Amino acid sequence: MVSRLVLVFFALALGACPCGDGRPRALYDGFEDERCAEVPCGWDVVAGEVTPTVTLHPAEHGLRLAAGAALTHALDGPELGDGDAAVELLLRCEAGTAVRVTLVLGADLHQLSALSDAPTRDAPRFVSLAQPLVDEAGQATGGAPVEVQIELVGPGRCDIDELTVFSGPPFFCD
Amino acid sequence: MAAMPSPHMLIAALLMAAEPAPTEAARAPTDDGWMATVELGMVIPLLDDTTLGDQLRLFGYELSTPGFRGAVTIDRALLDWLRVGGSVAYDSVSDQRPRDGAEASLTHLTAVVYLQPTLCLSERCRWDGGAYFGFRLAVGGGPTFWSLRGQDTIAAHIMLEPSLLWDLAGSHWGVGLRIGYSLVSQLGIGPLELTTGLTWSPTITTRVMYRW
Repeated sequence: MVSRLVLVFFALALGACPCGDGRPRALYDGFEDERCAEVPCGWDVVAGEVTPTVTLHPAEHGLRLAAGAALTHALDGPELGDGDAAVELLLRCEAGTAVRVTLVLGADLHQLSALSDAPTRDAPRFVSLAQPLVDEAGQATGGAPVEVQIELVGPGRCDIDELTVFSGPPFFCD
Repeated sequence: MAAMPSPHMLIAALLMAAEPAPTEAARAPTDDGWMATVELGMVIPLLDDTTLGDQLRLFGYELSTPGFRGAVTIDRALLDWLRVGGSVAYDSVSDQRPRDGAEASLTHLTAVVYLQPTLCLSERCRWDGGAYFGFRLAVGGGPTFWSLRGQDTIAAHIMLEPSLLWDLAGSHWGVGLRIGYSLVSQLGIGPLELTTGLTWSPTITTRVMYRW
């Protein structure tokens, strides 16, 4: 009888665990929405030139950011805990050029950001940027996200295929 | 006085007289005949540690599950122990990206020529019933079709394929098994001109042969 109760307990515990793709997201964009051909859906270009481009394959699309380009996307996500925010980005950049992703929080517009490495020569392949989002003091504070910003830093161009902003810590159900 | 033939000699002479002379239609194919083969089986692409494989994984596509392989072959004996021929093969692997369900496939159409030394494993080594073991060395190439979300991009590949064969053959029909160890080099494909260098891609196929 006791062993049955234990089994039922574990079954319920596992069933209640939200085992989706492992981490809650505030924003995911693969830039594949064909309804928004020039500027990706939900994004506003606030500076420079941003154009659609093909990335891995002619059917895989992304954004090409020229020098000085910046774009924003409004968010209305749930409150973040301290250290919960992180970003993943698939990108390739020309020499000396990087991408900064910034998450703007709450009414005081507190900013958490991550900056990709700038390659020393033009990158022929895509790489993955996976970093926690922290403020200027290196603190990973919480708050209510209101906006994501992507900004090009450097003289060249960068192609971005995919952007994921995480709003919570990873969870594991093993 | 002439000696009387023994009963055994008489029976043998009668059997020889009763046996009809072989006609063209009844004669088993000779060893220099042509043979056509259809192969069906599977292929396992091993794209690990290649430029193409690394980028595919980064974007969420594995393309590492076994796929279908089929081939049509024609060959003939050059020597008693050596066959030469050519083959056109089709192989394809596909995958679905977990995060958004996007479908991808990598398909090769490969034309090869080959040399095939063959060793007879049974007592009857003419092509009228027997077991054979062979080694085949094929070289060739062809187009590669990389499909993503239903859209194709095309490039070329080259292939060097050693393989081992085990065949059971009658006078016309035969069945067999071939295990290939393809070395495939994918030439630049897609906007990033992705390549693989020479990578192993094992194949296992069953064979049905017809000889005339």
